[in-house]
Amino acid sequence: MSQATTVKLNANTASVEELQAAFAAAGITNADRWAREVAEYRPYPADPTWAQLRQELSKYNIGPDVLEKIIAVLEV
Amino acid sequence: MSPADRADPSAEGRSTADLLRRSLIGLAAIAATGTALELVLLRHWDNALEWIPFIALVVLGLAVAVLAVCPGRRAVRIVRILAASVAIVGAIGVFIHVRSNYEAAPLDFRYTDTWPTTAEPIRWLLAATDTVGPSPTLAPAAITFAAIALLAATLRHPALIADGSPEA
Repeated sequence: MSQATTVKLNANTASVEELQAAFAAAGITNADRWAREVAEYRPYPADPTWAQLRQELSKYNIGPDVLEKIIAVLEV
Repeated sequence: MSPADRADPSAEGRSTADLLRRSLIGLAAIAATGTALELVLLRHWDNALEWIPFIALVVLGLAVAVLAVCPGRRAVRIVRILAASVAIVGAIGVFIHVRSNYEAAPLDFRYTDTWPTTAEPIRWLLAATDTVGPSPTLAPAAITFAAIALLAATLRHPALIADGSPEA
């Protein structure tokens, strides 16, 4: 049985272009804008709950599914 | 007010005007300080643009100090220019916040699908009313308010009418 593996990007070091490509591949609408927002609020601490990212992106009234998709492709 | 002031209506008027002038300067100082604290609490420094209000408030603080400490004729004129400039910066800040909300609107999950087909006037209305976007639209107006209070404190300032040719 094969299992799809998601390549994770470092939220603190990935370029905006890399973030955008990863978000687009994950099916996130407005991937370019979200990539810029994620980059703008760096650095992120090593926090498994992603509290800082959640707080920053919640200001945009982000959909819960979009937020989880973004977090799914990130690591610190 | 001294007994001599009570006996002289013009002196009483000057005393009242001085009190109001000092109150306006104090109001400007309090508003500028409060706005600066709010900006710090919001960590309003994510990019270069977000440093502008801090610069504007420093300029306003200097203008407040000048008007409070050494209000000469030239100083009052400089304070007017600085206060007017800061007031304009605050007004521009309101527009920047509205534009920021407009640009961020498609990120709001309630509008992601409908934004492309939303009429332009409705888009700007939603952005201006904080319905979409992360920026508090009228927050920069606090800077404009402080600047206008300081500007008002220079109206009919004694330093400008000292030579008998009053400037409004």
